[in-house]
Amino acid sequence: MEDILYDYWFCNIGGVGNVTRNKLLDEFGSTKMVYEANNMQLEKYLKPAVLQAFLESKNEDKIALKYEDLIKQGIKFVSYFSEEYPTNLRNIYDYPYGLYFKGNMTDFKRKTVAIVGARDCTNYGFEMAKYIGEELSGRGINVVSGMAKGVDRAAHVGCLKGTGTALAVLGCGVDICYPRENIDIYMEIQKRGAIISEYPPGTKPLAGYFPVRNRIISGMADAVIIIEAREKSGSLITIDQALEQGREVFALPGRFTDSLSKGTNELIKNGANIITDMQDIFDFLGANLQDLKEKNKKINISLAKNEKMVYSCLDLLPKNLNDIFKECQLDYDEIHEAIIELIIKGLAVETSKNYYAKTME
Amino acid sequence: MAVQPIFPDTHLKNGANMYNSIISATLIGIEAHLVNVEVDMSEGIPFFDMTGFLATEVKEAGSRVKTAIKNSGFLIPPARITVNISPANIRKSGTGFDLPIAIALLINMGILNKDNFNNSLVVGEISLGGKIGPIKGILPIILEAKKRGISRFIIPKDNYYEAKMISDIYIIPVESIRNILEVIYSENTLNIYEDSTINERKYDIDFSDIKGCKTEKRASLISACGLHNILYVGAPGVGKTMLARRLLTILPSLSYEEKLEVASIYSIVGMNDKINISDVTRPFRNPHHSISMSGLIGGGKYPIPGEISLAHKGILFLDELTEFMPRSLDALRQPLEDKKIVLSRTYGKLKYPADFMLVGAMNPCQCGYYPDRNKCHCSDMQIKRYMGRISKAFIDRIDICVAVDGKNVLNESEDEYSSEKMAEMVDAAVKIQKNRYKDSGFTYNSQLSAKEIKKYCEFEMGALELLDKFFAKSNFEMRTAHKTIKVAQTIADLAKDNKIRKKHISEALNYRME
Repeated sequence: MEDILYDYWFCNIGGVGNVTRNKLLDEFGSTKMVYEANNMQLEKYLKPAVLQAFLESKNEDKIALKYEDLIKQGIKFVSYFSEEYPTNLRNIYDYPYGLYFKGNMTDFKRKTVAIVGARDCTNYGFEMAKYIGEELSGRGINVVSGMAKGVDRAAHVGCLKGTGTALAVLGCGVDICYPRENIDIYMEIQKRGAIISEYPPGTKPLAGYFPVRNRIISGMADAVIIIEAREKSGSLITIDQALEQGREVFALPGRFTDSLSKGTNELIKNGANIITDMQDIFDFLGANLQDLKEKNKKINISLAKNEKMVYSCLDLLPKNLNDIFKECQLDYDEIHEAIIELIIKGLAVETSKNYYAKTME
Repeated sequence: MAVQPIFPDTHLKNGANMYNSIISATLIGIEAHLVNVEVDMSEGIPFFDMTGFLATEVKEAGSRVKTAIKNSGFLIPPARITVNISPANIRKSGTGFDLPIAIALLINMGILNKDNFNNSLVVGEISLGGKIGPIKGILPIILEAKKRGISRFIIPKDNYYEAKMISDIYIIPVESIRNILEVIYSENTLNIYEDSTINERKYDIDFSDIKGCKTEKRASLISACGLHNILYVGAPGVGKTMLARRLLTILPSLSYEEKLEVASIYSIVGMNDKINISDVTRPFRNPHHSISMSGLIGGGKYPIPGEISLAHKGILFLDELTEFMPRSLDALRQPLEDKKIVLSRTYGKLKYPADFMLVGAMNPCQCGYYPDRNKCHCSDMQIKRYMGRISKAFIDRIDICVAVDGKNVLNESEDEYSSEKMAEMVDAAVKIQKNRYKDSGFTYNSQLSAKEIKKYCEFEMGALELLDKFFAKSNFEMRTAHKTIKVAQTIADLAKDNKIRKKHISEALNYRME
């Protein structure tokens, strides 16, 4: 049997978790040796019931067949011992032994940045995650996130706009698109990067899997950027793990009153890097990063005087029509006209009824 | 009460048959149908029979009338009495047939003179003691009879206040059977119609009670001008209900005919508490969201008009729109188009008018605070699901949607939007619309169909292109575009502009409902 098959088998034994795998590998040295170990040796590490499952799983034909199935589905299995295994991930404490990839394989020697944050983010958080994702990707940096709603989605969307590689680490099998409404980026990431999971294909998205996969997101990255988080947020768990793994943490500051910035501001207070400029993160990543984006791509859209006034009054946080009236000293029909023009030109969006925000384009 | 018995001298002489008929009316839905109450008395074994497709309460009239006549001091001779109410193909219901039966009997008995009831309509309920009580639906009955050339009405005294809303008729209000004899011979007919064409809007609420909220007030103003259905979206407690209630204060005033229509509906449900026609205003109905479908559109075993008919010519305000049963809301779709509701029953079709303006209010999400992310934790999916409780087809019938923001309103200074000023603007805009649509059978911009938009609406250069460009950005739907044009037309009318300009289209787009 090929080495990779031993690895594949090793990651798919019912009842054998990461801790047991660690012990077994320490004892026997390689997956092949574990496979060939006799019962007497194994009894020390495995409970009788698990041992039973362990022995039953040792069916070469079955393993080969299942592995072939995987290939047919376009899913690649990468073990810790493969060269394609993400470099950064090797040096974390509880690294996964095997990973499943869907999409193109990626150059993990390139710098990788993780973007995390709230699912129910504000429009500001969404636009910022998109912007940062695009800027990073524009310099050939891999962007990794969790394909959840909100900030994760924005990070992927932004990354896909640039030239960099988008990586999504899921808490379910790579053949499952969760949440379902992200199907568009799920398909696109496969073309432009990879969907990654430590769970075998077909694994349902259970709540317990998600905090665990967060260690992979931070583990793969050189730096972690947190966009928005409430005081008690799942994203903060990712940050804790990132710090344990020795990753650099960047937090996007927010206003005093925004509950979605309480978590990030708290991090900054406790010593996390503050990100107020893309240069902050580029400087950390060091290497002479080149802006691969075509310069001068900025289309200089000409705006009428009223449109300029209204545009300058708009913000990334949505504003109610009444507030716009108050700030712009214009007639209401002029404001209505300007807003509609801005929407047509793609410079503004109506985030919800009569609330308008500008876009980061 | 000691009553002197009267023994009529005309008691069935020589076996001659005695037959008489009195005009009365029955209601089917809001429509009144004139009927003849025929009473025949002939010799034979005493017997009382009633025919003519009668509901139970009409059949009971026989016993009531006989006892009441006796208790009024008249002796009914032993005879075969047959009562028929024709035409027999209309189902008769209601309690108004007691009085015509009694009068026809009394004529047969020679107590009343037939000539006193020529060209007269009689309705009224009688108690066992001979007292005459009010009936429901006096207004539609009189209106229909007036149309058919009847000008003299003998009605219960308690219905008199309603009846005098109608001009050019003679009313004889009666209290009891004995009272009939007194008033009928005195020829003391009354015509106390008070013509009061004063169309003052008198309300104790005013738009100036609401500070700030410029967009919301402006959208309300536009919706009042063209009678566009409007939806207020906003967090709890920001004043959606306040706005909706104040909408009533600026709606175009009712014409005399419209007032009668409104009063007629309240008449048939016995809820008419107005004394003068000038007191009749556009109704405001706000049913609770637990309302059943038949409560909303009308129905029941003994069908009565629903909230949509009670809101005829006025506002039907549905607060917490998402909490209404989807089935009830969807039942509104057809009346919103047809401006009436037809209920089918085995005995016929009941028609009630339902030309109302729909005003809705709802929260933007389950918790109510979206897009304020400091308070709202709802996911996009939850928000979508919340909005999804209202069907697309229902949303299609709402022209204007506006967010109610309501923050910082306390320190807001006075602004130009008071009910009085807004009402003036509405009146001016309505005048323009009336003038434009004078030959077309409708009055308001909200009633424009796609064909009529082509016929009546004039556009500035580039206005339609703007619409095209905008919908190229978002998902285009013909119906949304039409709604936008209708609202834009109202905005143009409000600005006294004879063309729909880009700015009007822009503003209408910001109120679009998707």
